Amino acid sequence: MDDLTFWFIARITGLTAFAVLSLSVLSGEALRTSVLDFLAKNRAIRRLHDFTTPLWLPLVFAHIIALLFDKTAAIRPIDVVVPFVNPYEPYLLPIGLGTISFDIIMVVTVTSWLRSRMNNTLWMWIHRTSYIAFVALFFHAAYSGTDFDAPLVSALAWSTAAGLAILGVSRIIWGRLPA
Amino acid sequence: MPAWALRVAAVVVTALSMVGSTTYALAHPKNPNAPLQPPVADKQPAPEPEPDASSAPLPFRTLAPTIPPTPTPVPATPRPTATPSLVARVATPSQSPTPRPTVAATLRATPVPQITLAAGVRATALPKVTYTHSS
Repeated sequence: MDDLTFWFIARITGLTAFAVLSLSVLSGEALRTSVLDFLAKNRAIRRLHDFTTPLWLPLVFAHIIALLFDKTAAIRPIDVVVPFVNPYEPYLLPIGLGTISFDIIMVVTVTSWLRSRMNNTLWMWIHRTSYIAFVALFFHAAYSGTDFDAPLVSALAWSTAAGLAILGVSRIIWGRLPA
Repeated sequence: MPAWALRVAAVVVTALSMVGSTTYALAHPKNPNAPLQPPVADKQPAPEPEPDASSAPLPFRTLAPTIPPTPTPVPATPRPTATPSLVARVATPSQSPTPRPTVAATLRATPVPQITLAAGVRATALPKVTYTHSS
């Protein structure tokens, strides 16, 4: 394989994973707000939310595995799960945020699969940490990603994040929005 | 809209994102502002052969230095968008990324070509250049 193969795979899967994770967060927020009521009923949106997991999960793992093999990134296996131990001193925070995001979404995903065996209140609070994971993911991508500096990618990413943030804050303040 | 249609739409969005990301990443292999730089092969252009001063048909040559390009204002935090010449630089766990050169530093580092006169050729001075306006 070419030296740049893993570099390209990491970037492509990272960008695509961000897009699909945004869709996942949007569908999750739509369950509690009425933002997508014009599109479908809550049951259909709930199925969409569940369906996004097998879409973004392979992308996230491909992103991480490609970075492990990539000679440019030189990410170590410990950097994948333990935040803020990576050797890139100027970028300790943004790369560590990616690790935090990965850890949280893994916990959220596993607890979602085990939901029937868990206390519902506990599951709900764990699931709400996915907002923290998305914020960490966004700043990880914005400040350590190669492509988020580009005007087109940056505009799309910031507008998506801003829209999701407005929805999230609206839900916290007003609860379920009127249709 | 039924659930299956939403699923199809999600797959379409994912596929379009993948295609768009692939297109963009392949078109931009290196971003000078990125913290991690790929080991792109050194693609410095081959040096141009020096012109033979004795065979040049010019009536006279001067020792006057080359007029530098009109300087442009340098922003506080320059973020060039054009992809510069690709230089190999592989980050290792023990080293932090190299600081990126600024636009001003690039301009200062531009070498001034040296002219060697042939025997018997006299040097004259160029008249002072006066800028009457700028656009």
